[in-house]
Amino acid sequence: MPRRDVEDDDLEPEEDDEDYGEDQEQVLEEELEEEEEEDEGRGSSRRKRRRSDFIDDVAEEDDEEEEEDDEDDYGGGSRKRRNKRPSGSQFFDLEAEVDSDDEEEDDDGEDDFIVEGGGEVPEEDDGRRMHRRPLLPREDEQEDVEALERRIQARYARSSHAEYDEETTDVDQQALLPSVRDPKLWMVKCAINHEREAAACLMQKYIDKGSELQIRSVVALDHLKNYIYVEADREAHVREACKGLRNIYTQSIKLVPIREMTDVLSVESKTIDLARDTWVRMKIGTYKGDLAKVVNVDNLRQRVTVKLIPRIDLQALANKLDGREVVKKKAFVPPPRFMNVDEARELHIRVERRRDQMSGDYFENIGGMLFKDGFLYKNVSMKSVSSLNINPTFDELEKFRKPGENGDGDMGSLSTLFANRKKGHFMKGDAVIVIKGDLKNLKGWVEKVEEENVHIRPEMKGLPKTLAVNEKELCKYFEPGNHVKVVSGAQEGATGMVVKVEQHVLIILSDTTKEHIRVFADDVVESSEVTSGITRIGDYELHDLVLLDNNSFGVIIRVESEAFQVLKGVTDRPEVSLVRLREIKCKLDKKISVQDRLKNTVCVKDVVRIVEGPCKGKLGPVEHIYRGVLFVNDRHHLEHAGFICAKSHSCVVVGGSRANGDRNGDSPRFSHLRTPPRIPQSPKRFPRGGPPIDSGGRHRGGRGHDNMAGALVKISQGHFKGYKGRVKEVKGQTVRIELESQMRVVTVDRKCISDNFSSSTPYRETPRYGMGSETPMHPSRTPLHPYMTPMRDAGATPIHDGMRTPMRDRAWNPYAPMSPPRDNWEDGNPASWGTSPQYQPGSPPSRPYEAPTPGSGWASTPGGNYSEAGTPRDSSSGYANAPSPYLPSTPGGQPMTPNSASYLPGTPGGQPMTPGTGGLDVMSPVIGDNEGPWFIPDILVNVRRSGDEAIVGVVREVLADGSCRVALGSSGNGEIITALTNEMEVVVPRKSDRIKIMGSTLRGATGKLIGVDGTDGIVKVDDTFDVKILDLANLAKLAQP
Amino acid sequence: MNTTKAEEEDASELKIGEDFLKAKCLMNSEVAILLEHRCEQLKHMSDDPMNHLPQVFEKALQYVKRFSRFTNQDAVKQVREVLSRYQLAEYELAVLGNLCPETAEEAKAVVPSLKTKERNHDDEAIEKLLQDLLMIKKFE
Amino acid sequence: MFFHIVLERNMQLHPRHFGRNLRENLVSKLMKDVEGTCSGRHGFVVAITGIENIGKGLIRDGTGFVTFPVKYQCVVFRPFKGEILEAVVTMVNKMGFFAEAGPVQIFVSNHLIPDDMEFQSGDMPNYTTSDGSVKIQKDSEVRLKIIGTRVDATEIFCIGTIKDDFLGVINDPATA
Repeated sequence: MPRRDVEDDDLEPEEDDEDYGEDQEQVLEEELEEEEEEDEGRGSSRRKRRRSDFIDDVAEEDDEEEEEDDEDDYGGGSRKRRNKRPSGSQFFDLEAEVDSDDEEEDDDGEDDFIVEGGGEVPEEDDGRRMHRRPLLPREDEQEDVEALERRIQARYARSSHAEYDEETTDVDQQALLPSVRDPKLWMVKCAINHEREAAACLMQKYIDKGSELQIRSVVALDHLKNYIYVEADREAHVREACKGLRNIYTQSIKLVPIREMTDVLSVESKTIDLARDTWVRMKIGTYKGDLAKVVNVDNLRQRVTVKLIPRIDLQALANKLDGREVVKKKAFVPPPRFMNVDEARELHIRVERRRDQMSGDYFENIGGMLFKDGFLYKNVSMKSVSSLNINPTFDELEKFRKPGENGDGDMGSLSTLFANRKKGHFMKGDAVIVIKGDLKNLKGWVEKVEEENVHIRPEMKGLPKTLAVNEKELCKYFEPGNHVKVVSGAQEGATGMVVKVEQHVLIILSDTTKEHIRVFADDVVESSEVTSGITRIGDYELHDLVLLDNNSFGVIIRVESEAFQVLKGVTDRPEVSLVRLREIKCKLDKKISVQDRLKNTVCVKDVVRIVEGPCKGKLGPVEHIYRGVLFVNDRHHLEHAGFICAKSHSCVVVGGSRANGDRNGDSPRFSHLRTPPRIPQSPKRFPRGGPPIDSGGRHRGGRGHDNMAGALVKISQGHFKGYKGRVKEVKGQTVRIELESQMRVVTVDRKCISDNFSSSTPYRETPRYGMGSETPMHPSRTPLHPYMTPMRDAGATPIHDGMRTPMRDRAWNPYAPMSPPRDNWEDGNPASWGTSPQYQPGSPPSRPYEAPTPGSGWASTPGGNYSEAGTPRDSSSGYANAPSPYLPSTPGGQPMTPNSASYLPGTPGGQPMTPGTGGLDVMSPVIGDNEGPWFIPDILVNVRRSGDEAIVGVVREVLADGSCRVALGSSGNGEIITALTNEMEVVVPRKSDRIKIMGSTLRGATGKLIGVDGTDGIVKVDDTFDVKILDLANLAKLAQP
Repeated sequence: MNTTKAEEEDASELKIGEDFLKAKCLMNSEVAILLEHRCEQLKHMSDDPMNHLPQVFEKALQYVKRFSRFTNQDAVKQVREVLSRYQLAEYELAVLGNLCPETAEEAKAVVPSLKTKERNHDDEAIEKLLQDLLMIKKFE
Repeated sequence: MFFHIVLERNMQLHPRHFGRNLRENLVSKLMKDVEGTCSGRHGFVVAITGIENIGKGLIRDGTGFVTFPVKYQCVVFRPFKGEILEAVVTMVNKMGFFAEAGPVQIFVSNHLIPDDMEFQSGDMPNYTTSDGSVKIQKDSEVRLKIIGTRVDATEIFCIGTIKDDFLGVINDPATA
């Protein structure tokens, strides 16, 4: 609401804003004045502001006339802020009023204040207030008490005005909660049983001294002994005020946390009369928290007789009755147990059987306590029981009915249920049934709720459109099959389907545990995900990955009537929060792939196994990937709709084949879906002793920051310079590294590490930031390498796609058994960028191989814009499908530009294309057909069957169904096997390699890779000696003849 | 609103939503033929007997194979043809074809919408319909 | 119930797949994307049987991906509340039993099993009438009525009842 906004402005610490806010406020006030012509109306509207506001009000209103208004204002303000202090406790209401009143005087006595407060550094707020407060004419300090009283009374009377309450909405109430800017509440010790006195003393002092005291209110609570609350801005003010008062001890002044402030001053309404048969809970003593049933009420003496399950230690009782010394064990509360008279007698406890004159019932009297049927009947003060929000659980109720009374409807009696109903129990759309009165058993749906009356749309025809029914005559109605969510009580949060309805008790089959739970109909709401099949609100659908307001993210695991349950992307423990539509920023629908623990690429839909963390052992397809976090869906996981959130490096791709397949298609889903039929076929396993490719061997140069985890790095700067270690975790700009030599984990800035310590140059580091690799920076390309442009236009572009080209990725992979993972780039051209250690990541990409003068311009600026460079992922993640596999060959060069906008300069911009339509019968889809072209004889491939080991081989023949006959060994002189498409990855050629072109019009041609530019390879074609730029994905390393 | 919507879905009253009322219902027998055909094709194409079909497909196929009343393609066609004469909703037709109730009473129990509407579905007509089904089954 | 319906989907295709095989690529991608999925609205997509229409592709700004609206026919399995169908019992426990109708799992709570059937534990847990004439155990075929459905991550879960006329074990599934 606008008024709030204004207030917020007001609270802005900057003076400018303040003024601005004020202006606005003025305007607003004028508006208000127009709207609500009555002075009263205006007063009340302004009451809604917090107190801190009023001070500004004082500031702006300098004429006497308004001053009176002001009084109203804070009268209301304080009232409201305290969350409607109940009128029941007159005393402190009065107290508060007086305080605020005095405060005004305090304001008036401005000068003094400044002098006195000069020693302290006032809060910005305070300070401002001081200065801005106009020098109002000092009110007569001797303002007579009577006048004061009158004013208070006038105000007080108004506060109980009904209209006022009605205006208040929940939102208003929320807005009134104390904030950090409000005065604080201090808890001050005082003489026991002198709480009121202490408060009164302070009040008196205030009246006497007025402005000198800078406290704002004093509260003594009836139920709190030994303490009073003082409201003030700072502790010193409290001390000052309490100085010299003998029954207030200022040694320990405690600040009441903001959150608890409202609790201090909120009093449960006492409107609920205790009636017989209501359930209550004991508030104090041995039975504290126990459920009890009211059996008799004495309103006059404010006492009730309750029935309890006794907690009596018979042995102790026997000892006591025998006059023996009782060893008082503190804090020992005997478990609740029904009194067994015989047992008591065995312990020689005298049991008298007496008849109660009032009720005529017989009770066993044991040591002054009355028992009947094993229950203890206890006469207690009404104050010592609580009748609000009892929510007896079934267990408790079951216990209560144990001996004798067999389900005489005692269980969860309706009256109790009604008593426990919260306001707003019924909501629009609820199915209800009338349980009392003429309309009994009429079913309907709630249309509107008005206080006590609920307007329902009856199910039966021929009745008025809506009927108003008293809330007490209604009960929520469910049918077997309804899907519900338990919203209160012991089972809160559970959802399930109703399998049976026993009056107002439902038996629900829990979704998660598949067990029956018994709940009250009143405690559940129909959850809309059910039957109707509603799985979306707005743009968001069940199982979508969404970005939330606070930049956290999560997957929607349940769609409720107005909100989503979101499983947050935190991995240490499952965190579910309820999120409203407006709290969702956007849907995250990015095709990202990350690397798992073994550095295998994980794409959406890949099946992974979680190998560490709380969900270890779970297995399922990856549904979403974001910021290195995988959302895995395990059907057997019973919680969170089967979703599990895990770090990517806590997971291992299972089978691996899908991911491999993915690299053949643009979108992971596509390709993996294409290949599965053939997956199971892999009878032959490669001998373990084969080419020694460990997980590291599959390291494709890990560009994503996640990829770094597990990598062996060397710290190149700082305290730990020179140490080697393994990356445990990457957090933003810092990396946690386990030092090899010291067996401990240290945190260093990622700038300070070089993860390829074996390499002579630290260049490797840059690529890491360089998610840019995922977004080739074409824009910058042209200016830098003008000569390239024509070529590019010549026709390479259409094929060239940014990042996703699978081939590259797959080829990247274990480069070959004989070459350790990282030397890929080393021969790429160490010289050119080896000279540019730490070159600035943010700098325009230079492609050493093409540009004859590589790093010169920027090479000398080490570690420049890391922060800038370190974050491109977000902007580019759309392309981040394959984590820049080919990067190594262009290590330092290009990764930096996070610019993703126009990465395909050559693509026909924006014209809609009209590919063939027409009526092909798809009953017979050609599976895998489009994979055919990718493989071609004589190229080097990595064959991976088990998902863990890859063997390099030479394609000898491409079979009709796309699979290939592959001769193992880099020169093709090993065993010949038949490999399926999804088991092979093309070996990506490096610079100077002989290549064969697999795609484009040049398919089949051979040539030499003379350079690599991002995702493109610059190829000199053998036959024509033409130099072409081709997508790396279309190039495969040619086997040595 | 959601609640009421949920309330409204009830196949026994033919409340199955816009999308499906217009759609063609398939009897298990028909689905079996369709899926088997598809299965054949896939097998044929990939020469792979161990063909890996999506689980949903697999399960559906198993299910319809198990619960098909008619296996002969002609019989299946006939069933639809016969049932089409009785002014049935697609859904009703399919349920009857799937469950092949034996008595009119049973038919009305499994397809409650038969009795709700004022259609000419007296017991006689229903009995006749069931007889027809039985005949097809017999001669299959 | 199985349905043959026409659905529409916007398919994104990478330019790499353009060319002669565009249509095939599109279709096979569609099949991979759609078959086997489950949505609350349409149920399980069992198989795509045909393509109705492929609309004009639209290039997405900045990516080069092209979006094609594709209308396709498919067989879906969608359980409805109130539907009566047959299913195979897959698991029996004291809470009730689980049955499967194709891809759909249905739970029949013991509250929704006729009162005269009692749970018998043992190697082959089952529900049996007191006279032993009717028995529900794993692999029994039952006719049940769905009374509620819930959409889950990858499945639709239903609860059913056999506590009604003409519901329960199918005596002789071969001829019934």
